[in-house]
Formats: sequence, C-alpha cells, structure tokens
Amino acid sequence: MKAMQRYFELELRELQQQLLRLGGLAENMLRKAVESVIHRDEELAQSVIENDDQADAFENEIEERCIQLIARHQPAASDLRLLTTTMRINRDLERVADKGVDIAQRSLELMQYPPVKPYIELPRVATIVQQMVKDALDAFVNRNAILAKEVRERDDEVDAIYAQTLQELLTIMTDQPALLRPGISLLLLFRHLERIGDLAANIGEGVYYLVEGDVIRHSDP
Amino acid sequence: MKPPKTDSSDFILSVQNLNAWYHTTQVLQEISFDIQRHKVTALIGPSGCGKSTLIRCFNRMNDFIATFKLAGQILLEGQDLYDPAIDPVEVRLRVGMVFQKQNPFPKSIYENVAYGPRISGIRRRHQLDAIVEESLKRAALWDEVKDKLKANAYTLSGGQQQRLCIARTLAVEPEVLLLDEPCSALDPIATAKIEELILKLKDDYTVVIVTHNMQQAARVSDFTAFFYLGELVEFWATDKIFTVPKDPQTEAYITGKFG
Repeated sequence: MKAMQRYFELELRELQQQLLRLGGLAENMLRKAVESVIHRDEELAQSVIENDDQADAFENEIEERCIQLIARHQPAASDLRLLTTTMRINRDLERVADKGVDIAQRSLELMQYPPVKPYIELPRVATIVQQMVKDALDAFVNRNAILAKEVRERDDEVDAIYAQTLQELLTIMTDQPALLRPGISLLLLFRHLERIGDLAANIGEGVYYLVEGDVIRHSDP
Repeated sequence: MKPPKTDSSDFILSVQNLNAWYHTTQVLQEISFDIQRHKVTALIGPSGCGKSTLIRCFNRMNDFIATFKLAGQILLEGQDLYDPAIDPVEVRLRVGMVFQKQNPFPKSIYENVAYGPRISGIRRRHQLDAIVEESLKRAALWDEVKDKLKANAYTLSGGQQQRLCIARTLAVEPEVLLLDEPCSALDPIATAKIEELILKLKDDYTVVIVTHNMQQAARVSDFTAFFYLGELVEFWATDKIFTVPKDPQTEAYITGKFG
C-alpha cells in the first residue's frame, strides 16, 4: 500500500504545534508562579496573571480549529483520536494555565504576611507536578503510551503530599489563629498544585487513548 | 431448502475458506467470517478488492459468469449455498439483491412489487394487494406512491426507484438483503432516506452492504469488513474499526492515507 501525502496531515501537524505552544505557555506560567511564591517576587506573580488572556486565546483558537477539521474531514481512526484528544488536552492545558494564575494570586496574598512555615514540601510537590505536565506533553509528542500511563501513576504521590500538608497546616492554624489568613492561602496553593497533578494525569490518559485506543480514565492505575 | 430448526446460532451466513477466480485470476483469497443475524454488515475496500465479487457469491449471481470459479463454502443457516442439490433460484429468493443503478421493470409501480410473488404462485388479487402495500411500507415508499400505484415506475425519482427495487426484493420475503452500493447514484437526501431505511430493515432482515462511502459504512453498519487485494484484512465491530482499527492497512484506508 503506497502512502499518500495528505494536506490534512499538514493541518494536523500545525494543530499539534499550536497545542504545544499552549503547553509551553502553561508550563512557563506554572514555573513562574511557583518561583514568585518562593522568592516573594511580586512582579513575577503579576506577569503570570497577565499571561492568562493569551492562554485563553490559544485555547479558543485550538478548539475552533479542531471543530473545523472534524467538520471538513470527518476523520476516522488515529486522526479522529488525535482530534478528540487534542480537544481534551487543550482544555486541560488551559486549566493548568488557570491554576498558574491562581497560584500567582495566592503568591501575592502570601507576600502580605511573614512565612507561615519553611517551604520544604512546596518545591518538592511543584517539581513533581511540573515534571508531570512536561512528561505528559512529551508523551503526546512522542506518542509514548508507557510514559503517559506513568504520569498518571505519579499523581498518587502528589495526593499524599497534599494530604500530609493539609494536616500540618490545620495543626498550625489551630495552634496559631493569627496565621489563619496566610495559612488558608498556603493551603489553597497546595490545593492548586494538587489539581495540576490531576490535570497532568488527565492529559496522560488522553495520550494513552490516542496511542493505544483504550480508555483508562476512571480505572485504577 | 428449509433452515434447520435447531439452529439457534447468531450467525445467518458463514463464509469459510472462500477462494474465487475469474479465468486464472484469483479475486478472493481464503475469506472466512460470519455474518450476524439482524445486523448490518458493511463490506468496504478500494475498487478491485473483491467486495462486489463476494456479495455476488451470497446469492449466486456469479453463476452467470462462465469463467467464474469458486472454492470453499458459504453457509446460509448452516446449508452450503453451492451444494449441487440447492436450487440457485431459491437461493436468490432467500437472499435478495439490490444494485448500484436502480433497475425497476418498465411496468407500473404495483407490478414491479407484485412480480416476484406472482411468479412464485400467488394469484389472488387481495393477497397481492396486501403484499404490495406491506412491501412498499417496509421500503418507506408507500406514502409517496399509494395514490399512483398504476403509474410507470420510471416516473419516480432515482431515490424512489431505488426504494421500489428494495420493496420488490422484500416482496418475496428474503432473509438476507444484499445492497451493492445502493446509494452511489443518489443525491444526499435520497441517500439519507435509504440509510434510514437500512437501519429499520435490520429488525426483520439481515443486511449486507457494499459501499465506497466510508461515512455511510460508519453510519449504517454494525460490523465492517475491510478487503484489500482479494483478502479480508480486518473484520470487526464498526464502532471499533472507525476508531481503533487493528490493522495498519485498515487504518491507512479509512483515514485516506492510501494511494
């Protein structure tokens, strides 16, 4: 069977480039937001919030393009899986970007107060979720089902750190009511990071479906 | 040729190691698969892949081609269609066929449908009337023609003529309905009507359709068989074939990466 060069192929390639641009933006927003917390850098936090419109615009463009390609080409098989997965990853990446904005806002709140506690778990969990987002995107680019599934498995570790930090912060806030406001901001910040882990896991599940054709969402890792 | 009463199998047709030749050219190679009762099975593949030859084997249409040779078996309700004891005319009553180009007889709408029952011995007018009405209803044509049954079939539109051909086939109460690219000469609206009809017909019949239109196969069929160069490459649930085909050749064909 001879392979045929399809114009559709070029359009799909461009679409994936567009998705990766959104991925790059979301990763960058996340990285800057976390740094702004650790270095108490107001300017950096503001720059993350300013990126939000760009992320929204990317999401809309990608979604529209997917709908147009589906309408015009009525794709099947791997093309269909690519388009439906792209729509899903698109939404998840935009939410990662949103969570970056949320973290930046928590960062600005936290700057108003002295540190609640030393940031030990924060860089740890941030590194894990950042790597999860990166690996999920790498799995997408390289159609790597093993890595995609593995990203999802790492989410358990994030959940465990979150649960442990939650406990610790509750204790601190109970003992020192004066720390309630920054404590809540910090708690929410961990919650945002935990959500990013979920979103990266979702992307991993989407990539797994793209490559293998099996839906693993809602199944045990 | 009565179907064995004990047969409770889900499969009405079973193709076993089928090979076919025109002269010395082999056009079908070792085809084996089963066709499920009251389901729509689509046969797809590029021109020359053997799908039309295969569908014509199902009601022995290829018998008319002198150079055609066949090996292997096709079982209808467990009985070999090519058994020398089988009357091919009876096969064609049980397995009806509708062709690409609508081909009504140059007769009235009524006579087109009554023709089959009449030659199989039904003479009473009221009985024929009932069969004609029922068949036209099943073919979703009755409402459009009930007031002009005496009009010549050629006065109908292409899509109506095709549904008339379906009604004509249904009039002899077949078990299997073969459709060989039934919509390729029709406009999108007439095509949509035929597709709706196919989905209704499977309640009472087993439908096998050959189509070049992959979206059509995706829309109407329960199972899809992909043929290439005389071989059955993949046979699977349509839901699976169009989302997660197993064979790279099927994938290439249905995504259009194929030249």
